[in-house]
Parts: sequence; C-alpha cells; structure tokens
Amino acid sequence: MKKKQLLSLLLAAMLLMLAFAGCGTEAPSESSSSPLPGASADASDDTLVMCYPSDIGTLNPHTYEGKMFAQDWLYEGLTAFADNKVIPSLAESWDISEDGKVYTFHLRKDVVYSDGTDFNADSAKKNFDAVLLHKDRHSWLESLNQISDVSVIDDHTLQIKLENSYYPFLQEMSLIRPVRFCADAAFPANGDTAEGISQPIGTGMWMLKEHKAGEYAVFERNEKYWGEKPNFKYMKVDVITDPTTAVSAFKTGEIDMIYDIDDLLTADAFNELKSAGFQTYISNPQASLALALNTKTGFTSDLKVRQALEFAIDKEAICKTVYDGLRVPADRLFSTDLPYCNTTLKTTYNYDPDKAAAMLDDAGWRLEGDSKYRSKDGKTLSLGFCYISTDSISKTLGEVMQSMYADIGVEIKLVGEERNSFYDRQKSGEFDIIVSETWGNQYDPHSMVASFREPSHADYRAQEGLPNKAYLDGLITKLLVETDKTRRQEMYAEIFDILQDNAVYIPVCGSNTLCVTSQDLTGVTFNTRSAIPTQSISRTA
Amino acid sequence: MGKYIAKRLLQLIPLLFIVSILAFGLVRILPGGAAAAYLTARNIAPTKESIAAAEEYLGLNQPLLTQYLLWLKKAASFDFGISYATNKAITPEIFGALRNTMGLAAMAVVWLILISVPLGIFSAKKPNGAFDHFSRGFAFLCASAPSFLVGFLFVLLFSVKLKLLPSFGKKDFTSYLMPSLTLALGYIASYSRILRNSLLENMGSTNVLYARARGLTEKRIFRAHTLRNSMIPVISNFCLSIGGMLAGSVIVESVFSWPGMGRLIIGSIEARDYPMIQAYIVIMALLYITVNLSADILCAAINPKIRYEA
Amino acid sequence: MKTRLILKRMYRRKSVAFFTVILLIIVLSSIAAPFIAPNDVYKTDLLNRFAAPSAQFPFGTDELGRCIFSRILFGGRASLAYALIATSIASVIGTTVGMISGYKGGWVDGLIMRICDIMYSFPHLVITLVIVAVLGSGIYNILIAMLVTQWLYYARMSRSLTINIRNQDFVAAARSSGSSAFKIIFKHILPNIIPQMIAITTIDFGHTILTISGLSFLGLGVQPPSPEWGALINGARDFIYTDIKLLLWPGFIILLVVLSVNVIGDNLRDALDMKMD
Repeated sequence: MKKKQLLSLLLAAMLLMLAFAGCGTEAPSESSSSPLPGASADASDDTLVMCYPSDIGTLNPHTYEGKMFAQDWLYEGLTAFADNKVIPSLAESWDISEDGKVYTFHLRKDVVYSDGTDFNADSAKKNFDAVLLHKDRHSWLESLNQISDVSVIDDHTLQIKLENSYYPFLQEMSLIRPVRFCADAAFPANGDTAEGISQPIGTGMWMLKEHKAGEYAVFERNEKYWGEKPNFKYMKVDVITDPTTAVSAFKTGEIDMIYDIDDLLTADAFNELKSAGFQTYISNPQASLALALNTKTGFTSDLKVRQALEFAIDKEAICKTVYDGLRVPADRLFSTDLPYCNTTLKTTYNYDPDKAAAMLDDAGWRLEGDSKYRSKDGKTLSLGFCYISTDSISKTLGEVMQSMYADIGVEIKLVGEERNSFYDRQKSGEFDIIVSETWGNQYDPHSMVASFREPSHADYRAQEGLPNKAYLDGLITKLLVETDKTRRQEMYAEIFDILQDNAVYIPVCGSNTLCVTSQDLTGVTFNTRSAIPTQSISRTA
Repeated sequence: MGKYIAKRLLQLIPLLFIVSILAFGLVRILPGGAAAAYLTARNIAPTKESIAAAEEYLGLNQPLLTQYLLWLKKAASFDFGISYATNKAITPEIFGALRNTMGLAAMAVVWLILISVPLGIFSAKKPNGAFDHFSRGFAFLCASAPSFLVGFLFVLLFSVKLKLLPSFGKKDFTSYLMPSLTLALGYIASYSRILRNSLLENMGSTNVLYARARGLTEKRIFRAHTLRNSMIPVISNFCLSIGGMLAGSVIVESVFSWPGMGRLIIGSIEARDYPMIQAYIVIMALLYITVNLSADILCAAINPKIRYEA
Repeated sequence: MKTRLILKRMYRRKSVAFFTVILLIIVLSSIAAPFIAPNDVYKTDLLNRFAAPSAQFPFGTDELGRCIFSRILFGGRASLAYALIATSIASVIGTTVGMISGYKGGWVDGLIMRICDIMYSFPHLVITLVIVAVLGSGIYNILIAMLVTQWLYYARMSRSLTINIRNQDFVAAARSSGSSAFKIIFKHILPNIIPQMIAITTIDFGHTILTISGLSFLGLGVQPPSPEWGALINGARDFIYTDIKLLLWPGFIILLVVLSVNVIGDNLRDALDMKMD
C-alpha cells in the first residue's frame, strides 16, 4: 500500500512536470533573453515606450488589417498632409493638366527603402497596380475609382490619368492607406499584396524591428530616411487593452506616453494626470462627433421627432461632463475650419427642451396619465442608441442622453454591442440613433460626403428616408468632379443645408486627441486623427 | 491498470469526434456566416457577389462533408488556417498565447502550494484553535473576492503606490507574481481545507497509531505518514482545477493585459475571427481532456476501487 | 425535527448567524429597493459628479452624479435575481436528471453520463464564451450559458447521491410494494438528497454571482445603464484613479454577499456531514 501511494505521488509529480514543462520555466527566460535593447529598463534614454489597445497587426500598406499609426510610420505617400494642407512627400512636385485629368508627379531622387533599394517610378507603379487590382476593396476612395491609367515617364516621373477631373485627388494621395509604397522585397511571389506581404519595408522614418503579436512591437529609426529623423532610436508599443491598466502603467513609469487615438484615455483620467503633474497635450478638434438619426424606419422617420431630438440635447453639459470640459460643442456636422465648410446654415437648433416637448405634442406624441414616456397609438416613444460596448465614452454619452431625453418624455434604450454587431447595424440600417464620427481632417468633408452614396455606410442608411436622397447622391457625384471652385462651394452649401434642415445628424462636439507624457518628454505634436507624429518628441536630460 | 488506461483512451475517440464536430459546426451557425466575417475584416462590403467570391476562396461552397474532412485533416496536425483578423497563421499565435496562460497557471500552482499547504498543516495541528479559525476566515475571504477587484487593488498597491512590480504584460519573472497570485487566490480556500480535513483524518489512522507505538518521533510520523497520505486527495483534486484555471484566467488576463488565451478569445469573439475561435475550442478541449484523463488515471492509481467500478 | 437538528448544528458558530443577518439585510433591502432607495437610479446630475458621501447620497455619486447607494440597491435586485434564476433552474433540472440517471441506470444513465463527459471536456468558461460568441453578448445569453454548464454539476452530484441510497432498504421496500419509478424518485429519493443539494446550490449561488459579475466586467453581460453589480464595476473601471469608491462599493457588496453565502453553505454542508456520521 505504501509503495503504491509513493508511486502515485511520483506519478502525480511527473504529470505536473509534464503539463508545465517548457511553459513555466521557458516563458520567463525567453523575454529576458529578448534582443530588445532596454527591455529590462523600458525607459532607457533611446527608447520611447507607448501603448496601444490592440496589436499593431499586419503592416501591409495596401490593406486595412494593420493599425494606421504604425502604417504611417513605415510607409509614405506621394503627398502628405500637415496643418490642413497638402504638402510634398515622396513626390517633390507635380503638374496638373488644364482639364484636371492628368497628374504628373516628380518623385524625390534621394529616397531609398529601408532595405536599401531605390524608390523610383517603377516601384511606385508596381504599388499602384497592386492596389488597383482590388478596386472593390477601396470603393470608398473615389480617387481610385477615377484612375484610368498609371504610367512611368522616366525613372523619377509618374503620370496618372483620371476619368474625370477629381479635385480632392492630391489630398487623397496623402492618406495613410491604401496608396502608400513598399519595396520589391515586400511583395509576395505572385505580386498580389492583398493576400499578404512578405516583409514590411517602406520608406518611412521607422522600421519594424521586432513584433510579438498581442504583446509589443519595437520600431527602429530608419537611418536611411530622407527627411527629418526622429530623436529616439527605438519606439516600443506595448499592447494594453484596458484603459485603466494603461493609466496604471503610465503612473508606474513603465510607459512614457499615452497618445490617445483609440480611447485609451478618458477625459477624467487626462485631467487627473494633469493635476498630478504629468505633461498633457490636447489637439485642436480633428473631427466631430455626431449622432446619426434613421430617417427611413422607426419613430425617427418623422421629421418632427428628429427636430425635437435636436432641440432637447444640452451639448454644453455633455462637453462639461462626459468630456470633463475638454471638448467644445458643435452646431454642425463639419467644423467651419474645414475647406468648403464655412457656410451659413439655414436652420440651427439651439438647446430648448420646451420647444422640443411642444414639437412632440404637435406630432401626436403625448404624455398620457402619469406615464414617464410619450406615446402615440399605443406605442411608447422609445429609441435605441447603438454604440460599441467597450467604448466607455459612448456609453457615458448614452447615459447622459437617456437622462436628457427622459426630461422630454423620450425613452432611450442603450444598445451596446461588440464591434462587429455595431458595424452590421451601420450597414443594415437597423438603428434609431447611432454614434457617427466624421472621418477626420484629412478626409473631411469630401471623402465622407462621397461615402454618403455607399449603401454599406451608416450615413447612407441614416439618409435613406430623405425624400430627396436620390437628388442628394446625384449632387455629390456631380460635386466631386466639378472643376469650378465657386460652384463646388455652392453645392457643398446645399448638401449641408439638406442634412441640417432634415435633422439627419445631431452634431455633438468636436473630437480631439489627448496625450499625456512623463515629465521628461517634450515636443508632442498632433497631425491627423489617426497618426502619431514622432519626429519632434525628445527626452530632456 | 493498463486495461483501465486503455479503456479510458478508447472512450476518448467519440469524445474527440464530437469536439471536432462542435468546433467545425460553429462556423455554420454563427450569425452572418464566415464569408461575411471574412469580408468585414478585409473592409469589403458584403454584397451577393463578394460573398460568393469569398465562399469560393474559403472553400465554403464545397459539400459540408468535404469541408469537414479537409478541416479535420488540417486540424489534426494543428493547422488551423489563417486568422481573419490578422491574416496570419493561427497556430503560432494561439500556441504562444497558450504558453503564456500555462505559465501563469504554473506560477499560480506555485502560489497555491506555498500558501495552502502551510495553512492546511498549521490548521490541522490545532483544529478549532485560533490559527484554524484564522485560516478558515482567510480561505473564505479569498474564495469570495471577485478577482478583478483583487487584481486592481494589487496593481494600485504594488505597482502604483510601492512601485515594486510591473503593472501589466509579460516582461520578466516579476510580471508573473501578481496575476498568478490573483488567479491562485480563488483556489487557496478549497485546497487548504481539503488538506486540513484529510490531515485530521489521517492523524487518527491506524498507520499513525502503529508508528507511534513503534516509538517514532511525532515529527517523523507527521512527515512520513500523515502528510504524505493527506496530499493524495489534494493532488487529485488539484489536477481537476488546472483546466478551470487555464480558462478562468480570462479575467486576470484582462486586468493585467496578459497576452494569453483569455485575451485572445475575447478579442477573437469581438472580431468574429471564426478560425481562431475554432482553434481555441479544439485546443482548450484537448488540453482539458488530457488534464482530466491524467487526473482520473491518477485517482485510479491511488484508489483501485475506481478501476473496478468504471 | 431533522431540519431543526441540522440548523442547530449549523448555527453553533456565531459567524454563521452573523453572515446570515448580513445576507438577509442585503437581500431584503434589494427587494425593498424601490421603497428605500433615496434617489432615482437613472437620474444624472452633471453638476454633482463624484460627490462625497452625504445624507442625500449615503455612498456618494458616480461619474454622472447618480446615487451609488441607490444603484447598488437596485443592482442587487438584478444581480441576485439573475444568480437565483440561473442556479435554481440549473439545480432543479440537474437534480432531476441526476436522480433519473442514478435510479434508472442502464442506457439512460449511459447517455446522460456521455453528455456530461462531452460537456466536461470544455472548461465552463469556454462554453460560456462560445455561447456568447454565437448568440452575442447580453445577460440573457449569459444566463443560457450558465444553465447549459451548471446543470451538469448538479446532475453528477445528485446521481452519485442517488446511487448511494438506491439500494437501501426503504427504496427496495417501496419498489417491491409496486410504486412507480416516478413516485420513488420524488417521494423517497428526493427528500433524502435534498439537504445536500441545497448545500451545493448555496455554494454555487456564490460562484454564479462571481461569474456573472466577471462576465459583466468583461463587457459581455449586463448592458448599461442597468445597475447590475458587475456592470457597476465595469463602469467604474475607467474611474479608479478619479474616484475609487465607484469600484470599492459594488466590489465590497459582492464580496459580502458571496462571503455570506459561502460561509452559510459550507456550514450547512458540515452540519449535514455530521448527521451522516
């Protein structure tokens, strides 16, 4: 008996050893032998450590799986976008034909990919061809729909012909994806980058040095970079899924910077860190947050209901609380700072809950007896507010709206779902109210307006019930190829008025990017909504 | 014994078959379907044509049986295809995550032994004494505390306040300490109690009485007889908990941003990364079956009665 | 008489009485929430965010100026009700199936045990996560998932308890007097295993509360603004540096409830064990 028990104990011990052999001991030693410089001391002088809520993904310049900020670090476009203007990048200059249909790009001659191979017109064409092979994937990007021919004139001259004169072409060539350039070595054997690239090699200021999916990625400064190089030699991006964990890691000094392009920083946390003495930065509004109302189905198909919803929302209060005073209220979908957007709107909606209540009464929605919510024909005025459940700011926004709309007798049901279900709703139009952010200063207004015509977008679904939706879409199509600037301006003004008069969107506030850094960092700047500019950041001694 | 093991292994065959059917069938019943999920991940609008093309590409238009057999053939060699979300091979990613989670569980086991064994032994030395009461209370407290709360409080104390331990991720050995302790706490309660009770039982056993009659010192009796015998129920119970620990780490992984299986599956559910979810089901089931089987065999080795009953 | 004996043994420890009182207070005040809650749980007051505890707001206010105390009271209704629904249905179904399986034996038993084996080849949380993946997140899907996984546990327990007493004299006597299987199971077997099943259910109730709140914490369970405890904690995550009481209060209440349930269940089990000696 005793022997047998001893035996079984031994067996048990062996089983355990087997079960955990290799994992318990191997895992820790592996990261300590990591080739990463400064892995043990993250805040070493030549490494800047930041975090991001998900893995950087596959850094393919032509597809959408990777994270944009990282794609932007590795790859560059023909043009770039800074201070709301298009500036030269890989193309140092360009000529545009009289009719606006032929663009001739003069490429920089001093550019090499990070593997040492030349960037030239052939390479640029190869990239264009790879992107154009899958036009269906990029249907939102009107420039690609317009391209009829890409040809190499000489080593450093690339000519692109368009079907129509398309005025935002240069601006769309500055977008982070899909028209950016990777080296020959990045192309797979069959040349089709849509199925994956062999290695991420671009002309950008950073190179991907090490990538541990789900854990971190390390970028190394590209010493062959043609432009102004970053101050740091390495950039480490840790994956931290939870905003609170990110703040903890920042407070302990494990990370140097939280650059909030994907909701890793709440307004409250930002202000708390600010008062704790950390460096904080806040960008100008880079996009705007709005709520899209469904004009086609449900109770919101009634214009009076939509207008009542516009009047009953106290944007000042939302900015003060949900955004802890960091954001400013918006009264229109696109900020007046954007090109063509400084128009005079015919209709405005100022906070006026009494007026809203009167409008609902008018539309037949009445408060019966002592019920909290209005009803009509036995139906309660109840609307669903759709958002992504992990987006805590939208959740808070929903809760505030719920309270505000309850005051005028409208019930708001919060429909928080996982990301994909939310996207499904955008596509199918199964929503009453849905969070809708404009795309950001690089895309607004033209790219977003162009996408109004795409049935797979929430905006199309929201506008679908407008009596003049077909006219609106036609107007947009004409606008995009209109050559006369004054005429364009008039058309934009008309589009904005249609949306505003019909109360398709409830503009809430501008969206800005927040950033906090440790005390010893300086030089944080902002560019577009999804980019993290790193050149000017440095560590003071 | 050999016969028993053979029998148990034979029983696994239908089980594995059903696991494979479940994992495979999942893609068929999920809302929207695999083709649509694949397209969404690639930013392609799911129209009739694009869905047809994707189904062709993914082989979803073949007869169901063919699809199943193809999938099974690959899955049998742990090839789970390409992730929809990252467009990369699933196998290395999921095994990397598995290793991290197993590492966490292994360290949790170390904590478990370090804490529950002394608790059990000292409680049994003086049943219903002050220490026994304390350890009982402590065990209850550990079993009742939500792990997310404990995790956050640990981070606040050890990382933010005292700056002793890293607050997230897997960097070096020190990163293992807090998450694994958080994971272990829930299990400490039951193990210290099981050990205590079985120690008390064994202390009165005839073996111990004889040993005492033979004039062995109490210390020696305790080590040679009581403790060894009492560890057996603890160990066999414990094998059963390992599977629970591997799955239960999902909350701990979320709190500590630990790159393990839990975070992987939560992310995959959100991204509707169906091949990844399939792989997760298969691997977790295999792992769990293996652990359970080992536990059963172990129990059978300890207690021959089980062998005859089964 | 028997029940009294068990209760008497159970309450030998003062701590059991103490935790019973605590549990009763929490349960009763949750039930009475509409009458005793000082404030509206949904009413936001944007000028009074993160307020310190006061007479008006006994636990202070949250990030939208809502009363934490009232939200916890109402949250208790949801959390306790969900856990109660999940455990009681699982317990009833599982116990019944287990008794049938244990009493009948043969192919019925074989089939049921094979189903158990299959379900047992996945960790519970994995099944829950997969069900959420298929059906989407939300409390009802979570409850379905809990049911699917939990009944097995009861079935196994009641099956082994049934097998233990199946061949005892009184069951044999009932069988020979021509009672139907249905009658034997519910008249003779059930009363004998019910105390143990209650003890198991009690402890499982605590686990269920922890699991549901854990899933809500991961954002898969109860959706806001419903003040379920797990959802309160999930909402508090982003504010632990701004105001940690948002996390501590619901966390502390969950801890208290689960602790009370565990202590009571454990002592009940001990009391029953003694009876069997």
